[in-house]
Amino acid sequence: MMTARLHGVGIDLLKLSRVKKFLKINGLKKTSTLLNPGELQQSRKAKNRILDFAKRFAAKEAYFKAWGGAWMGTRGFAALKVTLKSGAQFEVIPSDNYFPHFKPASGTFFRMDDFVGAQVIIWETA
Amino acid sequence: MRWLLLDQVKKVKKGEFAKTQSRIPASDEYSPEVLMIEMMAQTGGLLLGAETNYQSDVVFTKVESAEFGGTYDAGDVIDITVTSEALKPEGAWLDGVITRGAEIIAKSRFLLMNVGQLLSGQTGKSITFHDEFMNYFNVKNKLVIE
Repeated sequence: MMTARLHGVGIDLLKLSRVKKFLKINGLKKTSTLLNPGELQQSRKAKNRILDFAKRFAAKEAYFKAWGGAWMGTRGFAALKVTLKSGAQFEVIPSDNYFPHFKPASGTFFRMDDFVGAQVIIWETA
Repeated sequence: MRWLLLDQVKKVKKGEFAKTQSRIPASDEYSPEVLMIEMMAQTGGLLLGAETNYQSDVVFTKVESAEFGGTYDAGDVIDITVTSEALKPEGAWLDGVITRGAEIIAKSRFLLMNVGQLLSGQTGKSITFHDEFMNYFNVKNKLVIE
């Protein structure tokens, strides 16, 4: 029988006002080092670019935490693709080249006032 | 959320406060102060959980402040009270106080947020307020709604 074992849980929380300030100071130059080209394209089309960027960043941080890894550099961030799904759901797909042993995972966003958060649960099957 | 730190859920008044009882833990791994913050968070979880009738999962997202004082030793019985001025279904800033007898030994302000159902695709049930926990602490009977 196939059983699922919890590998890790990751949670990240961002203040939207801080993200707004970050984007104002750094603009697209910095975000292009944290998002991959596909995400950048989607992010440019977003109605609320601050929220879009905050969600993607929080989802990536939560994913890294769920794996239990340390800071993986800006290249690590760009090597993850976050796809926003319906409702509060999202999916994270790691690049095979950069993270050959990492698996895709899904998670959910949560919001309150000026905060946006993301949580990821990673399961192992045996 | 794991609940092994609490001994007893005393009362949850929906929208106002939650009260629990525990003891100063003896742990070589964690300082008692860290575990007291977790106790306040768990007590706060009972208060926020009541907003969704314990159907949603809650995560401990931020500690704004924490203060400790007085004297305490491992095994001392402590009362934990958590209140909130603005509970929302999506989350809340909560204020926790721990007393040992009449003495306040810890205070904290922290943020808990509602994340919906973490395992929505698998069980459709809250894993924070799972049946075993709800029954063990008899939570529904300690809940007061006015």
